[in-house]
Amino acid sequence: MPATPWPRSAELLRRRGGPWRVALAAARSALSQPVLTAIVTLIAAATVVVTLITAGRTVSTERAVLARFDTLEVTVIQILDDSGDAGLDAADVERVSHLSGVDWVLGIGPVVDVRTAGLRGEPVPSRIVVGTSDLLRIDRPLDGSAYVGHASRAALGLTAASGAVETGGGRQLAVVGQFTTTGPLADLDTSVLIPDQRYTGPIRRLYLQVVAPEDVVTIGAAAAHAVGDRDGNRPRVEAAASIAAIRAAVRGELGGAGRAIALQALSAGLVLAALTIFAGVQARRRDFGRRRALGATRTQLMGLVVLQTVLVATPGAVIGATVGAVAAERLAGSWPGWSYPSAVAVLTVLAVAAAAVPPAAVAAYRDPVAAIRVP
Amino acid sequence: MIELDRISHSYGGRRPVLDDVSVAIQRGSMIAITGPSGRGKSTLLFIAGLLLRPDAGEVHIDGVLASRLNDRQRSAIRGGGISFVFQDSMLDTSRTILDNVVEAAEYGTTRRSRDRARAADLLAELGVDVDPHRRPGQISGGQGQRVALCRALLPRPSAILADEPTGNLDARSTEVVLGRLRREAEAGVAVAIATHDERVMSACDTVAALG
Repeated sequence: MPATPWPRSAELLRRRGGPWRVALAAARSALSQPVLTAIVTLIAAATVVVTLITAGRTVSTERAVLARFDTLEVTVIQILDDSGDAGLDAADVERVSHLSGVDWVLGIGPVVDVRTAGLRGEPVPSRIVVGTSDLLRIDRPLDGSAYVGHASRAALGLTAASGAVETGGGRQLAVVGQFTTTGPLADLDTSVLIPDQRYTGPIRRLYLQVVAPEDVVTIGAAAAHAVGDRDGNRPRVEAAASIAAIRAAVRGELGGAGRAIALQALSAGLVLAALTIFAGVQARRRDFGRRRALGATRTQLMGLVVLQTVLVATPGAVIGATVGAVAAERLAGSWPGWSYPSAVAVLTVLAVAAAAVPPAAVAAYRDPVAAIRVP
Repeated sequence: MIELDRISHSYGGRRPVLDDVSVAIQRGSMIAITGPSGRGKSTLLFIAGLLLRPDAGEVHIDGVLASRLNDRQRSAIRGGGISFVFQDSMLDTSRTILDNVVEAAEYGTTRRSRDRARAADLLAELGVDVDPHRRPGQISGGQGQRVALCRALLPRPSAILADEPTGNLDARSTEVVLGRLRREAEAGVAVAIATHDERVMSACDTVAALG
């Protein structure tokens, strides 16, 4: 039988097995080295757990503090023209709503007293509202109809959110539903609100919600500029700028501290993993020498070591994320969610993989003959 | 054919173990590389197998200047064209006998499904009559060396470089190993054996003495 023709190296390179063979070899190596596998898995798990119960607590604290700030409605800016001298009108609502970074805008018209139609009760303030707001919920809003709050319904003597109210001029409006308000709009509960998106008249109060707390100062100034002044009178702009600044500072400080702690924990994990993998590579000198003799390239050997590390670090990181999240919940009293533990797990696997690169290079670039001759 | 042309090599700047040595390892024949210990028999095989770059001299494989190829190209030739057999068999003790044979294809060019069937055939042919799923630590040295020979044969190499392949074997195992290498040579494979065993030398077509 004639021997196989001697293939040229270029042809052999084309015919070589794909990366999956290296991945398979990495999996086999991981299984054949249970002690090294267990140690690297443990290092990955411990790194994630330590990161989560140290930096994770800081993140939980940051979230809790920011949530407390957010209950103060720091992102709502009020533009007030109580006297009507500044000439704020519905066109300003439209103008401000076009500012970038603004979530919603709500305009409140001047007060017009109303009474329950047909009864001589106490007058209750009514206001036209233009625009929308997350802080004002109206059941099935219908332009030109009246809606009552909890307090205004009681003041009008209505047993249900139905009936009619009339202005001093005798104009009647059907009461068709109820509204609820929160935050800075809570005082409107004593009023009757009349949604009217086609309203073009004067506006006494304008509320706008800024998407990002750090933009409150900038957008407040832009809104003041947008509404301008009429006859030298400016509306009053109230923004919780100082609270927003404190919020941003707290976020920066706590976030920075959390990142520093996480970096320290990851660095410690990386160094431990590098030392362990290096010890494993030293113990496998003959193994790598044999693989080189069988045709493994340096790149394949490096891939083998790094892939083996990733294969064993991944389950460790997943276990660590689960244990760490539960531990962080016990310690901080609140569930940290899955996004932060997942991010820490991914970062840990990447850090441990990076730790495997120097030992992998040592394995790949060691003289194979010296490795084979190790007794 | 592997041609080693005026090869010199030393380890760590010491006295050269090879000094201006030229050897041709021909297809279809067996050559014994012999000489006293420390005179570079193994080193010559490592250089011929592109596992070691010589300090001086050139390696030509079928006319190609192989000693100047890059690592990927040299590895590709080892994986698909040149097989080593070492004195102590160098089996992976964490893997089964069958997996040890198939390992030769992990960096080579053959197909996995065919690898396992061929590995089983080779083990049977060379008389490794133990469960192929046992570990190398559970078989004798002679059987281990036969397993190592199976691993070398699996990729159907063009050259087999054997370093004292019968050094630890009994007469029966030596006969099996040499017989199989002879069959490979008759099929056109270039076989080089580093040895100082008279039986091996007499089984070869040519003998190159070092030192």
